[in-house]
Amino acid sequence: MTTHVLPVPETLDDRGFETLVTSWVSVGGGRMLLDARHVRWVSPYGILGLLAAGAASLRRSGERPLLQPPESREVVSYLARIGFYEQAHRVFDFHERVRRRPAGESDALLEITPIQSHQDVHDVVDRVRDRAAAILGKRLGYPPPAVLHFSVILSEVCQNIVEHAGADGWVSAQTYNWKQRLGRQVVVIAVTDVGMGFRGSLAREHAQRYGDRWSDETALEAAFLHGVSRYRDPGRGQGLQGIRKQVSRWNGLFTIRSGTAQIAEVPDWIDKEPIAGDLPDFPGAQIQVVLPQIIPPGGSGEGGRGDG
Amino acid sequence: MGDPATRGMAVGVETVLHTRVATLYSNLVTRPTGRAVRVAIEQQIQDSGGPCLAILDFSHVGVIDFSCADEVIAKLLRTYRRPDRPCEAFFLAHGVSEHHRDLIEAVLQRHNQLLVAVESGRPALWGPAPARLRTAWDCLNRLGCAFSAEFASARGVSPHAASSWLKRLANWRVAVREAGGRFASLWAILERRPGYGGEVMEMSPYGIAAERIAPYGPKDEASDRVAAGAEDVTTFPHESEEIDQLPAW
Repeated sequence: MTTHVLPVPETLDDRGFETLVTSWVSVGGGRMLLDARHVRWVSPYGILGLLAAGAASLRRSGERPLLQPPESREVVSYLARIGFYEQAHRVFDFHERVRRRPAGESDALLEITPIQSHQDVHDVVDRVRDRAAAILGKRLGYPPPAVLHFSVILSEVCQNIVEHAGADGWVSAQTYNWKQRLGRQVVVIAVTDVGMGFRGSLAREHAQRYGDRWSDETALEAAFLHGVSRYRDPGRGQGLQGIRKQVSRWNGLFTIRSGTAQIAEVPDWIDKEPIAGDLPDFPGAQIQVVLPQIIPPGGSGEGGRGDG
Repeated sequence: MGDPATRGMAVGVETVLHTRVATLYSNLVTRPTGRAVRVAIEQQIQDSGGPCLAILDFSHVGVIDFSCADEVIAKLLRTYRRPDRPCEAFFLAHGVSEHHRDLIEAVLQRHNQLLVAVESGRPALWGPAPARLRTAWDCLNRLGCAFSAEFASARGVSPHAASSWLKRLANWRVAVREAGGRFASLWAILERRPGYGGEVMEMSPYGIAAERIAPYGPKDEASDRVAAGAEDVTTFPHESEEIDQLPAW
């Protein structure tokens, strides 16, 4: 059987992930080899996207895909620190010894963590609190209560996997300097799964009402803009609405990609369409929250507001 | 807060329950956690046996997320506001932080419910209350307890309108209808509790949380007791122009 080689972009961020998905879709079936040797930079969203591509390939072909791990020493070291290799070994075959996470805590806000149950959500919230307080407060200039709101965001995006995806997923959070796009530090939360996606989750309850208009795009709009949920319980669907509100207060970016569409709460510091369709079809949902460093009054640049 | 002598005649709520919301987890996240907390509170209410004021103590709660707030707050309020509620229970939130408030307010808005909360030692009305209803609640809160005539006088409205307003407050479960047609604010009921100091309350853990306090007033009044809210006030008498549109159930 043919093994298809998919080159992983050098810069594996949200744009790199789209490039990867484009090639993933074009290949169709068969075993895959994801060639990440030339990766020079990864974001939490990008690296979870790589895991998702592997998981989706495994599901599609029934065979574990192969991975050529990155060669860059910095990238290798970073991936070990955020626990990538432990998770990658569950998805990929790669001929390299397991690179264990270095002893002690990493400098990541939240290492790559599998989300399979509500208990995992509890563990994530419990674990991240002290680090989030230090990073959000000292490094990014957020007021003390921000850590609670941040935890709520984490909790709700992780629960989205448990409650709606019908498959396992991963979460990770990291701070880094977003020099090119923003010129300041950001904290990024990435969550991904390869489950049924928003359209699949909402179809049974809502597809009929939309008729021919039912699509990934309309499903995302329904959930993201109108708080629609697969459950009839009127209390459902508040999580995404609450995240949107809070991220908007902090002048952050919140995107959800699912199937062939992406929807976003767009801040003023980035040029991005609030909704995009006709993307290459990829299973599940991929969520990203970007919260910019707050510049105190009189400081330079754009970005976060300190009214949170 | 009204005359203590007349307050002693109240009979609507006999039990004040202290429920530590954070007994199971300090971070209230996920729906299953919310369900567990709610079921424990409902059990306490059931065990208390009579009409009760349940104090939801958030003092030791760190994070509360939308899902959990929905499972605990919204579903408790919804269940005990329905005409077929399992028993008479009213709720008052205590020990809430600004973070809790943001989350709880969002949930109350979503469900069109109201909740009385203690903020800085004083009661506050949370949720999407129309301005006039809020004014009526403030008025009853100042009075503590009031008959329609007293409320009408304090508010400067007709006795009929006063009666409608008080019934609306009881219907929203932010006031208690007591014996003889008198109404009490939840805060007034809490203040009746012997030894209550306003700011600091001793909280009991689950299992022994139901603290039955002595019925108020002479024993011979017991037969006159009207269980708080027992009368179906979902159907109002013809309301005057002063009454805001009643929100849909």
